[in-house]
Amino acid sequence: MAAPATQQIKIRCNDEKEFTVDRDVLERSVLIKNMLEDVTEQQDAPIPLPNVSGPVMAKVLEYCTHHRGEPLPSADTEQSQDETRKRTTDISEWDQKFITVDQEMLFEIILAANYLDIKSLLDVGCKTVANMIKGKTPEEIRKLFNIVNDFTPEEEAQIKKENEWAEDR
Amino acid sequence: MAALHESDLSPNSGFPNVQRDELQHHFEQVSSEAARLQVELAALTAQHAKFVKAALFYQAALAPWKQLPNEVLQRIFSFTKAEEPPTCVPFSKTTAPMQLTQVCSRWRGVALATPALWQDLKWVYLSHDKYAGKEILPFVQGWVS
Repeated sequence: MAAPATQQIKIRCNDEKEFTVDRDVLERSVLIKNMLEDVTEQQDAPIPLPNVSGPVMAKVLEYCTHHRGEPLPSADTEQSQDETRKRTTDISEWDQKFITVDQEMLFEIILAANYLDIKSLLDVGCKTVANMIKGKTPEEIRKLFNIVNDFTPEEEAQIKKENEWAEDR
Repeated sequence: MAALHESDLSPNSGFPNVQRDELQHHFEQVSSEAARLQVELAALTAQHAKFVKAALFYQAALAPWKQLPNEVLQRIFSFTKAEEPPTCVPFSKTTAPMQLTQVCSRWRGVALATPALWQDLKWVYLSHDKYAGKEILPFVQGWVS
């Protein structure tokens, strides 16, 4: 039986920061939803979230609050929509504004969405990074994300061959 | 020293020997100090370069993207694929999947292990193209194997 929308749940982040949140907002996270369903008696102790910090959780809750009430994708719809979803990197105006954060926070949000199992937020983050990658050369991507070129000599040789083939047309 | 420097006495006009010795002494002193500082500067420059390199190493090691598990990286990569037209062979270095395979070893491995990137490839075949025949096969086999 669905719990009343007004029920409030306490969560505790890895920096001891605590939030008291409406259950339906928290249930955007499949991880928390399953945890709550497994608990038969009402507990006052906060749910520990060891992989999320307070500032990141605050952003995640901002997203969940904005999208509360929207249908959660079921496993079937998730699979059937997979290909269609991956064909588009469109992000709604609100989500775009929400995800306009520095790179560190962007990846923290993606990690939190992955851990908390919030597919729609994970996709917003992944699409944002994908849009940053699009149209850039490998060197520009390295610079953007601070990546070291660590190819082995064998990989370098293979890439050189691929480039000759690609550029020679 | 300043008085000597400003004086209009040329070496030919004849410094008293005492003055010349003094000048020679100062010259040797400052030359030696300049040489010592030059060596010190070179050592500090080398040390600075070493620290800058180490800082870049740690910065790269701490780069936020590094925390992402491979499955999340794969999810990102599948969103980089162009919607229309389908990914085109030959590939461009600024579009997926080619760009992703040339960033670093981990990205290359993840990109090659992401089937979504290698589906729906569009093959542009030109009869006069020297790469239109079997020459392309080793690359494609390498990518999709």
